[in-house]
Amino acid sequence: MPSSVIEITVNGSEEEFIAKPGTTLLSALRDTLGLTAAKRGCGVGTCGTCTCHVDGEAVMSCLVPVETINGSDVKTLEGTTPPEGLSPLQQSFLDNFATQCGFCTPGMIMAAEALLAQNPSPTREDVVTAISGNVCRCTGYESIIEAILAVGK
Amino acid sequence: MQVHVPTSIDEVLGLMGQGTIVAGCTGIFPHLAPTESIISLRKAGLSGVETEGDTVRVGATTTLTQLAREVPFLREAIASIASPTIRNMATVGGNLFAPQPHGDLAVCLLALDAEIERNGDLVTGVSFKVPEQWFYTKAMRRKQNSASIVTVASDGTRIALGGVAREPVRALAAEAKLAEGDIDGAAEAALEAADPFDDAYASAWYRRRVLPVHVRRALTNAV
Repeated sequence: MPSSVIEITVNGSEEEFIAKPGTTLLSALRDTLGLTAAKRGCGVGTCGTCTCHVDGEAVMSCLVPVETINGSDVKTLEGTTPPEGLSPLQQSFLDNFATQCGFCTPGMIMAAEALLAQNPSPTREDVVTAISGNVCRCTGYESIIEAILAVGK
Repeated sequence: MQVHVPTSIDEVLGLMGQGTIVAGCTGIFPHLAPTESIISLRKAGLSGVETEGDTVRVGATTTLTQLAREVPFLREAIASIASPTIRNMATVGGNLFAPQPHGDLAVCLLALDAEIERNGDLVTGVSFKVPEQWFYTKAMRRKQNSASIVTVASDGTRIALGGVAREPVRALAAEAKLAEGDIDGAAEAALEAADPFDDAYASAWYRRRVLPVHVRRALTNAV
């Protein structure tokens, strides 16, 4: 079956690559583009650790066949990291001990980035809703919620 | 396998039969064998919400997030479905095919007596009237992002149930009681429409046991 040429913008840089049919955005990011922040947890959209933004909206990248978003603008955790130091959310996760094993962290931060972009002053309830699709199996939810709230104004 | 990304309805219709129709890819897609072809509706131009008077017409690939933004009375119901990230992807048309105990929007559409627009075998949209009253309740294991134990949607005349049968069902006997103003009677009569199942969320016994409670709560708007 024919592969396709995919052109997407990833973290501001235009990328062109060949993808086999059915390649997910997650595996294109990790295996083709070498961006390994987004993780494969469940592969069925239940755990949220693959969360990225496509055209400004948080999505589960394990559920996106990359052919279907040709031409789109993709942002991953790498794209939120400044050239020097950490982003405000990354720093807050560090300061609030919101990272234990770290596997859920990229997804948590991308879900939180999407929330703060729409709602810079979220309530606790807003934060809980925003990360309701993200599972932390260390169950460190409280410190994650605190870290996100600390960045909100 | 092949991934078809048609850019018009005509192109979709020409491809029918050559793969599984997908849109948001949150339901069927992760469970397909890697050899199975898909036809993605993502770029087929089927998304959007139009309101004319009290009639709302929703394109099949409108996401749940978009629908909640545009149709306020459905916000509570949509907020009870999955997580915000999944709602950014999952579509109105796809929800019609979500197997129970998922598909709470389909329960709402049944209570609204919504009309499904089709072009051949392709669902292109749904339309419904904004009801004067609206009652919705969903019992689940957690406050958010969980499948239904019992879902009740009603416009004060029709009553639709989710979680208590293999498909969303109308509770006709309950509607008859409700028409008499008998909410307690409607709650008990709702059991006639239920044929619940056991799953990881609840047993059939439990669903039966709590169904009248949730029908009563929904209709008295106690939740």
